[in-house]
Amino acid sequence: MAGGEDRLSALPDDLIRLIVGRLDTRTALSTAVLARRWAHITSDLAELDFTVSDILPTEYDRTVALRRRNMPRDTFLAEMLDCLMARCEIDTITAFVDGITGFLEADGGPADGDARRRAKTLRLEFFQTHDGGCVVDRLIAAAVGAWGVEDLEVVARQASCDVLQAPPYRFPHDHDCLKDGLRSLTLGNYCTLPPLHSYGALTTLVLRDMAASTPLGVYQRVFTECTRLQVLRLISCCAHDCVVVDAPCSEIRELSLDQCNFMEVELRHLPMLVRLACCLTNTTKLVFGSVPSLMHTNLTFAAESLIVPKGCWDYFGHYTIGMPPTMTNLVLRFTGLRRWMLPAPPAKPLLNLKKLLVADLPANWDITWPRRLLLAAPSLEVLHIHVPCSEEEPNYGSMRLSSLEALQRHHHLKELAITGFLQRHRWFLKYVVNVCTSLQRVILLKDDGHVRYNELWDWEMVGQQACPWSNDDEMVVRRIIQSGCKPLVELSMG
Amino acid sequence: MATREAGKKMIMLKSPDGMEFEVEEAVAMESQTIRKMIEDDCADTAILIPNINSKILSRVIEYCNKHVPTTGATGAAASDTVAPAALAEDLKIWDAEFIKVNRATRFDLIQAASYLNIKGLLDLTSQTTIDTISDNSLEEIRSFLSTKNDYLPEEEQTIRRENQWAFQ
Repeated sequence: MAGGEDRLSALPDDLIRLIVGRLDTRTALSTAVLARRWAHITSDLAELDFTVSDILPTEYDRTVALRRRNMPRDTFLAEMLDCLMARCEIDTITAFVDGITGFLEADGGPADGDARRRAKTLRLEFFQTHDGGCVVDRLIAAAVGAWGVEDLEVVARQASCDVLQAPPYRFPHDHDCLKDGLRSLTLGNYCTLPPLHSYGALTTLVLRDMAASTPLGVYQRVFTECTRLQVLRLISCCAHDCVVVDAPCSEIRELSLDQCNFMEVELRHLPMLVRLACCLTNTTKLVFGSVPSLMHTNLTFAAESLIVPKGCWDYFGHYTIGMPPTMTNLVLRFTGLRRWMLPAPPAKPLLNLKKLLVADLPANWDITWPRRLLLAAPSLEVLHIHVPCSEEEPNYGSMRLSSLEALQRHHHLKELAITGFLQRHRWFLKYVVNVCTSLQRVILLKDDGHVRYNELWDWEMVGQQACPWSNDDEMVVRRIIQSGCKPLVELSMG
Repeated sequence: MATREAGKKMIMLKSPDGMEFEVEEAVAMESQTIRKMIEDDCADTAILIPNINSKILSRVIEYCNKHVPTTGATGAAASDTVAPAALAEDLKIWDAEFIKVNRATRFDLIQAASYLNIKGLLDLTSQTTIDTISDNSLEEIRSFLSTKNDYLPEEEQTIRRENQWAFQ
């Protein structure tokens, strides 16, 4: 079939551009060598990636990790590895600088008057060197100033070899084009956080793996100074202290704290905050102050062990204080936690909560954990519970109801879904169908069901029909539903 | 004229080589281009699809038929909370079979998907092309595309230098 008509080249430029645009930057740029027409097409790739990870050998990261643990023990071997790594880093730095220099040269220069490139996104990852990332600064200035880049990601890495050690990368924050042109900025790893208060167009900021030595005030100032920000994400940042967010003028609508090592987080004032996601690893307390717009919340408890004062129980209400009643959607996940956390209801009822997901419920907990939250959320309409597949019997919690509690009715719950439904969960099912007067739909999925997240705040339950229900099991469930206060509930099982 | 009724409204699609295909409106509306025509009431009883021959058009309809969302009799409410993962898996396998065509047909499909604005089909067809490009060396791609190198030697030097990030 070789030879003959070149059908791909017969496609119009727009379509080829669309196809080339899906390639990674290096492959896309390599097509420029094919023919003149292709060089023209590659000059306006919407996304450009210049990341050293793409050209580092695959063993590099593993070797760095090994040396960090002071392995191998043999000093001769260790020295040899260090030499190899230094060589590899120097080669990578040279390749990166050459690559960028060539790329910048291609941009015509003053003779053309006008920049030839157009791009929207630029992602950079490089080793910080003594010249302070000179070539990076030039690239950033050209990209934002001339090519129209609006989304910028800058990740500086620290070289492992001694001679290459340099102070952290300083983002060239005082370029005027950056202040007006940049909409989204990601800074990562070996960078210092520049003052960003004059960045009028910046709406999204992501800080990732910032140095542990970054003072707490730096993070707090982001909230108060960058008043135009709409979205802020802090990923793997740490400060061994309490972070207080007191920003009455902030326009932040979305805040995500992912794997951050903050001791405590207090959201004292965030007037526009609508969506909040916290993946709590070492944070022991999350305090809500004035967050009057908050609607969607995702709290993931990911730490294997949370520090608890001696002789004290873990209360859910100790970790999250003052959950605002404006919340409509709540996702609670327990991905790391295995020890019991008492399901203490929030101090104030969650009056507007409509949808609640309790996911990754630890296998050693009883499924009745969400019951207290159900009662604390009188408007709740959808309750989804996800129990990961396990045969382990729970050893914490059980359905012990006082007669007063058993009488308490819930008038708004319409849908209950449980994935990982087992025979032992039927008591909880029985309780729900007896207490909820408006229940319309019950969805029970067996072990192979899971939760598919749509970003962090929305989800759907996904079932697979690998193991069908036995007639007996189904009959038991149907009988339970018949005994409830609304026997005509729609039941779906999978 | 196109009326917006829930039932099985049929649409006639005509290819330039004179073939006619009768398809359900919902299936035709997988194409954003056709959807727009229908919504703007530009669609009479038959829509002429220029540039797409009957062979390609029939394949495109086959794709749309498979990918039209099934709003089952159980009601939309139940299906939006519990998604059938098995179905998605089925579709993937079907897609992989569907795209096993020769290059010429694939490029025709890309053009058709682009003109008719069917995102899923465009993704599928272009991704398959990308996989070929990513897995081969430049010389192989050049021979695969039978593209002629129209650079002068010194021009090629310059282009290589400018794009040397690709060759590091």
